[in-house]
Amino acid sequence: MLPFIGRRLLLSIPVLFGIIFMVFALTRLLPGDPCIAALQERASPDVCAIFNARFGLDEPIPVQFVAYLGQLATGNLGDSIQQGRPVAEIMLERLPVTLELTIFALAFASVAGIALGRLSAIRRNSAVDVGTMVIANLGVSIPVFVLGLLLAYLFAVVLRGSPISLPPSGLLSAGVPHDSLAEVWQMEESTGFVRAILDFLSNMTIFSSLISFQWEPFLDGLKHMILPMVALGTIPMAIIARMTRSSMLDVLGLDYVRTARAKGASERIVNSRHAFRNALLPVVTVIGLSLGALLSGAVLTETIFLLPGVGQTLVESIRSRDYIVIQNLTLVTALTYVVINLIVDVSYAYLDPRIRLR
Amino acid sequence: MTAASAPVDAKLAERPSTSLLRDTLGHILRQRSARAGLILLGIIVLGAVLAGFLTPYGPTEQLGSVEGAERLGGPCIHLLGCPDTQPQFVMGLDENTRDVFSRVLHGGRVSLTVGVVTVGIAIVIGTLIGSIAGYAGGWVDNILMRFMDVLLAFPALVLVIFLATTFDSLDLPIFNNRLFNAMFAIGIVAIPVYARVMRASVLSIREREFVLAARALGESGGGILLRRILPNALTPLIVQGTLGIATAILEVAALSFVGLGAVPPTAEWGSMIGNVRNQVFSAPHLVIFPGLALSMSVLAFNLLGDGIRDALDPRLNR
Repeated sequence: MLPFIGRRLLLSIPVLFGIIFMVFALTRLLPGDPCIAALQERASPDVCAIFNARFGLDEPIPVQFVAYLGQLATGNLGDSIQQGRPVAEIMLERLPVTLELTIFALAFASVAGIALGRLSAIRRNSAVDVGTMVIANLGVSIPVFVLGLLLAYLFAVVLRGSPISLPPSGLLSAGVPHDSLAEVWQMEESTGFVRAILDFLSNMTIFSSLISFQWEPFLDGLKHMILPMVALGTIPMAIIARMTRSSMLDVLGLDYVRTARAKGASERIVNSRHAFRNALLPVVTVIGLSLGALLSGAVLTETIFLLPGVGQTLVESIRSRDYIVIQNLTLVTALTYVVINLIVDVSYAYLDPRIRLR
Repeated sequence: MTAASAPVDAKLAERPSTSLLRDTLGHILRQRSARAGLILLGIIVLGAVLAGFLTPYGPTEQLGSVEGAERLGGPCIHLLGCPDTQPQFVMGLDENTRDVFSRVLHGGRVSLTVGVVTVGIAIVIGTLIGSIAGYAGGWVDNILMRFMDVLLAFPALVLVIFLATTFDSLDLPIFNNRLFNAMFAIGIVAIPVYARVMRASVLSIREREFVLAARALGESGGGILLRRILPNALTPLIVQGTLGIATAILEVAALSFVGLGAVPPTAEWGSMIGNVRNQVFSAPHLVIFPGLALSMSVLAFNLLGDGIRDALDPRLNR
């Protein structure tokens, strides 16, 4: 297992460099020099000479790239022009929201998708099967933002006042108290890395209220999460359902399943113990692949449901042409994606020992 | 002609002559999903092509002066009981008193064009990169495919947004059309898929006897790629391309939704929805109709792509 992880880590280094280099190079293509972008009307030739020297912008490009790598390594991502504060600070605040949304959507997509696909395969060609597959085909084709807006309209306007009415925006209802972990655990004096971790976790509203036993924000947060989770998770759910169905059908046609039936195993045991487990591996692959779609879709979902995550920040920055933020959010999202992919790959190797040997 | 072969010839004459193209089309049309996709696509294409004839108003025409036309007014269809005294708007009016029906039909032109053009860009460049990588092998292959890996390492929409904003801000004449920039960005992000498909085909075909024979006959590398290998790689490229159009339509709509891509007042489904997303609670028809058109187009290409794959994949039929 360890050699596999090591090899996989080594392989992702060139990709990481590629990502950073691409973002760096494209940013250098941007018009006007960074001096004018940062200082606006205060940028005179004299001031810019000092500015460029200070930020190393008068050095050759390769030197600048190395300097940029150094900046990244120390977490210095520059300042947002629009918000006037460090991008790293914005990330620390916004990334947890996106992660929490993505995790919920992924959980919804996997649970619902696998359940539907399995049901469909077991009752092949029945009305249930046809219905599920029609839903799966439609689900793949509805854009996240259309589904999101329609869900918001349905649950917040049409069903307003009914018991299943759901809030269409935000993380928590107004007035619901939510204390940060540093407050709850009385660690407000902590600084640096510990504090950063605490703040990061605190911004995952639902998770942090759960681990600090704040039930009111926990339940309220869950309620706010349902619509975004369904909107974001529907496309991957449909893909997972289709994959589970076809994989289940493949396995159900194999000899050992017939043997199990011949031994007199009940249909339920055959489906769950023999077929289902072996049908899961390709499904896990699809679940891993859908993470990219989820991170992409999160941009749109957050915009619709007004969740203060990376995606919403990205869209705001497009409006205000805040390039430093766009550049760094792109970079951080891509790096997150690479790390998640790494974790997914390692978990395949754990699930399927054959992969480790390749 | 000898007497013995006569009955055989007669038998042969009974069978209608077929061609590869006709066989293939037959296989595709036998797929239920492909038929459904084609029918849907036909409706959408007709709507887009004939938009000028089918719609009573222009896509950007403001109808504030028409009597009874209300800003954000809902659909009014006389056949469904809307009083004759009010003017008929099949899909209602938008925030600038434009006819939504006209805009939805005209929007099809933008989405279909964008879908086909971006996939065109991606297939041409992707096929080129894939064939060079597969044919040359060695370090060329390594560099090209690692570059493709980098493109794939970004969540697609995030990279598309980044590229589109970068292109938008470039001060070059070729980048002054934002819709074109969006198409270019989506095309670039789609390249790795086709490059990988093409490279895999090249690798599996280049050692085959007929390629060796062509080489022995003195055919050039480019000729072998174009005439021997490319035709054999067409099936997966067509399948990926059809599914890719669906993705491209979704992505350009998403870009326009967040304010890149199509520039108002262009009738484009994504931007139509993006412009009114704060009014969805009072005027849901402004989201429902363009959203329906968008979903139907994506569904059409998805069904068609699935159908073609099922028809042309030899492991699945015959």
